Amino acid sequence: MSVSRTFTRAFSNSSSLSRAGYSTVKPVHHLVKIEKAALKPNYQSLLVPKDDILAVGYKPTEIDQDRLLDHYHNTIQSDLMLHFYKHDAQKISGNKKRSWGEDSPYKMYRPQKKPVGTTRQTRDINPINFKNIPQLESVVVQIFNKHALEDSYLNISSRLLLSQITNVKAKQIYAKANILPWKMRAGKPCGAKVELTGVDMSQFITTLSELVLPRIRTFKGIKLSSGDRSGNITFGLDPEDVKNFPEIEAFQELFPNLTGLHITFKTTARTDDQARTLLSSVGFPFYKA
Amino acid sequence: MVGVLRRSIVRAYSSQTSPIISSSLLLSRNPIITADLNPFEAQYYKYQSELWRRLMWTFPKWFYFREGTLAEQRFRQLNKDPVSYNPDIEYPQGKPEIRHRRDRRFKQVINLPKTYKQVGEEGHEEESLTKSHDDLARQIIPNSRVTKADESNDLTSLERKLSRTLYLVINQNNNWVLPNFVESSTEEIKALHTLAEDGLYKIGGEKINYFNVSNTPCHLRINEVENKKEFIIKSHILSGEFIPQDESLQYLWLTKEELKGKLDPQYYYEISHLFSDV
Amino acid sequence: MFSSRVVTTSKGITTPFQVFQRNMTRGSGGDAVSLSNRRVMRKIKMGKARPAIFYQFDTLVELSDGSVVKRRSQAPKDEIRMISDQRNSTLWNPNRSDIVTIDPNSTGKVHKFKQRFAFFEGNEEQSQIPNESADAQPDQEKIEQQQKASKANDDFLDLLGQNAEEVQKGGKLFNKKESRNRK
Repeated sequence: MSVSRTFTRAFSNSSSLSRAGYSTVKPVHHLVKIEKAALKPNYQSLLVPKDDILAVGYKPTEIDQDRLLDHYHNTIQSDLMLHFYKHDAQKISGNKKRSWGEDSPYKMYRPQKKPVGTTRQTRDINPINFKNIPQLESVVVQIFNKHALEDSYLNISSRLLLSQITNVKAKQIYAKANILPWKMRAGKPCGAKVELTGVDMSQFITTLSELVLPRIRTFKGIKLSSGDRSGNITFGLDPEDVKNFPEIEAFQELFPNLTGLHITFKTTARTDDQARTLLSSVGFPFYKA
Repeated sequence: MVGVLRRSIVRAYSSQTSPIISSSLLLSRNPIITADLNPFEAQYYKYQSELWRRLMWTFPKWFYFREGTLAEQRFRQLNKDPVSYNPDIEYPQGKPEIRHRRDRRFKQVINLPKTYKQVGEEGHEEESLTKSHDDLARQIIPNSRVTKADESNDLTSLERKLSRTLYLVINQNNNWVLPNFVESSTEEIKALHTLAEDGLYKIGGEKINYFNVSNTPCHLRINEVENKKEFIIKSHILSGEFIPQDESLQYLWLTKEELKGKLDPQYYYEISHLFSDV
Repeated sequence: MFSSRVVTTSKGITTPFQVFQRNMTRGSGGDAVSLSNRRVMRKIKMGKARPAIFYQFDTLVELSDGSVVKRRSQAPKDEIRMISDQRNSTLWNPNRSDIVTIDPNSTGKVHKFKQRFAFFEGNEEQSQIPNESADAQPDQEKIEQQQKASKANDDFLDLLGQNAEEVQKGGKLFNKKESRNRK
């Protein structure tokens, strides 16, 4: 007992007194955090990435020739590069956060000033070269179903509708805010959405531009004013227009509650003008309202 | 660096007579049908699509074909229920796993009631031959990927090689070149793309609907033999036809590989990057 | 009590089955009684879910110009024949003079007039435009052309000159929070 007491005293007093600084290397046992739950043998299959053919959730994506993508690579891409070429084009800088100055450490480490006139930064617009030719990233199709706010089972039909016309299982969307006049309460299901990529996106785009939109009598094109200023274009379809989808048209009695759609084209274009040119090249007309 | 280069080019020409500026037209017909697949690509797509078919969910028959309807009866005649599992029977090939009247061990194959008369059916062979093209009850058969122009190897037809990009070349002084137009009068200055357009209508008639990609030329070829600067304007023919206005004018619509055989090797080497591989 | 049918399969094995409905039971009188309006979901263990791929048919779609495209569709139809589509729409084919759009559903005075005199419609303008023979071409460039033309009409841009283009600079963005506070 006495030995251990003396040892303890020596450790706590003399060694700490003799050492001047502190260790900059963190102790190892604080760094490594092990999620023991992930090591459960049941979860081994979760560690396999989804695009691996061994994964349970593997979904083949390149199932067929994609004629829209082929057309983009064969023709549109090089045409767009030439079309957007501007001699001596310079980068247009976006509205960025501003520094407070560098004359004192306080200013250097202070969070930067907000951009002039706004709260958020905007992106730079670079001249188009072979590396940044605008292309379609994805298409988001979304339904807001106000009847589902009262009876949530009515949302089934909007999810079904989306899944039918896009061939992708639709996600449910929920109200985020409490707005009493609209009978909206946060957390209530109020619609559906899908994000399409790859072959599903291509087929949806060609269906829209070849089969659906030309049959809408009042359709003049997408409004030129549409867009979010950074290359994403949105337009909507009425419930009456949705009937023109081949899946709905032949089985109208199965879809008694049709709702309108919002379709957003997400592109890598930095301006709406570029995005519009890209969309018009895949078959969407525009008109000036 | 760029400035230096530009100056040196200018100096090189300043000693000679000023070069003739001309506008060449790269007029292409885009592919109309999907690309031809090589055997490897075809196999890859087949493998992927078979995987995809195997992973498909069961067809919701109850949704499209309501119980007791005529359509459902017809559907049931075409799609027999699979053999159900009987515990008293031994299955050497594996036990059937029936869910919603589908054997889960295999991909589901659904036969649909036909709305048309098939060509192979008895008694309809003569009818189908005599049927007019506008008959709405006929079966939809994809059009042939090989056209008459392909069979007769008509190189001047726009309807050949539907899956490839074709380029217009004309014969000038026994040389196959892209249509090239020089300003006739030196007083009136025309834009390069209007020069090309006017020239095209002059040699090929006005029955061409074409789309000019950009007023900016896509390539500058310096022809030192003729002291010419050839600016190449890119455009696509959308519809119509190239009809030579001059009887002696020879023209061809060729793919990239065919161009390699026809064009002068040096000329092809200089502009080959403008042609599409597909 | 339970109504059951006997179905003979192709192999000759007889299996009794009944029409299955979720959460439904039959009362003593034989009428269906709903137990609950909630769908009972089958529990799929974590990591065991197969991807959501709906059963899809390969549907051949014949467009109005005779070209055939293949679509993957969940609707049980193996072919669709389109009467009106992109290939004969005036909006997508502004240069074609041979398309006459007559809507079979409309029965107004204007429609009657159009039916009689559609032949003369727009002849003066279209005489300038060369006729088309082949129409199986991809149409996107036409639209691009059309869009460019409509842009050129923009009178504001006209003031700036022929080749002027709008320059987009970082301006004000829509502020969600502020707009909500304004209400």
